[in-house]
Amino acid sequence: MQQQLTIEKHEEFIKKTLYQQKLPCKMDSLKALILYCCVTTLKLLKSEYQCEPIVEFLKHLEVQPHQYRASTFDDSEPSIVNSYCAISVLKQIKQKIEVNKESALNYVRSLIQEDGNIRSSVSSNDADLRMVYSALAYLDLLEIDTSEFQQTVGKFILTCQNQDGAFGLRPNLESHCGASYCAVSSLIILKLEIPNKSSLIEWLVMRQCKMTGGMAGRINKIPDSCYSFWIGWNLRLLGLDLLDKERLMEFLQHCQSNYGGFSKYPQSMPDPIHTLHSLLGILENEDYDYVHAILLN
Amino acid sequence: MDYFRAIVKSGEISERVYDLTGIIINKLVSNYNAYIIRRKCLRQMNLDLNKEMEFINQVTIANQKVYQIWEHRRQVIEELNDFKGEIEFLHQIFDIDNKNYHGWTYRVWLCEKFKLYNQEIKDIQYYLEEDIGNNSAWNYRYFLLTKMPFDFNTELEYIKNAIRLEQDNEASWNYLRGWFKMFKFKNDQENPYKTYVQYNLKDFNLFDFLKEMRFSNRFALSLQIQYLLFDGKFQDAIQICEQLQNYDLIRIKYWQYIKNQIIELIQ
Repeated sequence: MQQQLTIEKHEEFIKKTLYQQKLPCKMDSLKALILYCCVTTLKLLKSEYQCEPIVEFLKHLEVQPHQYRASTFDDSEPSIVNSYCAISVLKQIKQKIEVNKESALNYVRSLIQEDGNIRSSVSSNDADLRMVYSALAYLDLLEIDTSEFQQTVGKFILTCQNQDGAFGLRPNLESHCGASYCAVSSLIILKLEIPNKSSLIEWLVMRQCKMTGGMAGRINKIPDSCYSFWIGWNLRLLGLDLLDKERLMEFLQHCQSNYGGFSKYPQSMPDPIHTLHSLLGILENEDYDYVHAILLN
Repeated sequence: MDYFRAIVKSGEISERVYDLTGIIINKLVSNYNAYIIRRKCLRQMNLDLNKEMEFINQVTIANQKVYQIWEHRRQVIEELNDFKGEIEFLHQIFDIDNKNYHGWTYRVWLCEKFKLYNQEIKDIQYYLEEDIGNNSAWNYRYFLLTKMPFDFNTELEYIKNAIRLEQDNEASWNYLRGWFKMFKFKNDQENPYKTYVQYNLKDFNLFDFLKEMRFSNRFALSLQIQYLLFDGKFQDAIQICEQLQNYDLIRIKYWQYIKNQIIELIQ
């Protein structure tokens, strides 16, 4: 199956993206996320990269200890998703981090809402399981104890579980693969049980499409390459390997671009997010940290 | 952008600042500073919120999947305390993409805020008639029904008819399953914070209904397994798993996993 992947082209695509100086301004707020995607991919492909420029770049985004904003262009506040991406990158490139426990904890505490949901940044109302995951994985990567959040945040996560066993981004919302991965990995970090596992597992495996082999994010939606990760890694978190990898590869081949990288659907433009998540979903690697969505070695 | 930064720093609230936020939002729809300042202008200058809704509608149509414009909408509607025109606007959005997650998220908020359950349960009918595979609509239907008194037997007939129309529609099967408690294997725990409105499969004879389906229908077969498990007929359940390993080849590993779980029960 490895032969069907044009690994060198993907490596080239990612390196080009990583070392590109200018992104279109609409993508500027995604810089930290794109950095995370590039670094994680290069590690996966056992590729060489320079640590110095990455560390320097992240220093410019660090507003307060361990608090990172999206970019220097749009003056945004630090956000938890960017902070998670930054810490994740630093961990992966084995940069020593002087952990300021109180700073990181207080930052997360400042983002928790009354219902246990977590906001993306102090002035924003954008709060859902993605931010919950980012916050918990961020603290966990910094080796900070998250047990104080079990009752509040843990409870919120559990109220997002639907009657079909999967999770929506917030309570009462439609079951979604990304939300389900975030929920399960967050519950694991909090050392809480995952309820209704059997229903969840059946829901997850049903996302693989008989016709194309690809993975869809919700019921009756078309397959998108990145769900190879959200579903595959969710099942791994539950100790299972149940997807049809060959059929999945059939689909991913069509998402593989001639110029390198993967796109979300066949015959669209590749991007680093779908490149990373397609590769994570299809390649085996003994150094996967399924909970934090990074490579350990 | 520098001009905007200067305005942000100065804290100015005026007509020209309000206009500027409109320009920024049209160019960089996710810039949340622009919304914060715009809302300050709306409040402090007591601007016409109905006119603001026109602006929001235009920006939303151009940027249907951007969180900030939906949040801005929510805050303005909350201030207006009136949902007039909202359902019609949502129709427009769903005409373009009937599964827009932001749209349905907003709809759940709107429904809870203005207690629209009774009119919404009628409205959801339209979405299901138009696209019976629309899982967002089925999810919304479940949400509505759990907030009102309803007759489950009537609902069950409704679901069966929907399934008869499209036997391979995963959304209606998933909806059907959601109303029933599933068999608990040893690792299955209850959710301590969520009480689902769910019934016992044993109290509802769906056997004849399941027999109406094509013999290889994986959803019907999966439900048959549930019935057999509740009845303690483990060997029969294992046989169905084996059938599914043929009919639902892509999930051969999963049905093997289920088979193994059932074998464990027997031991």
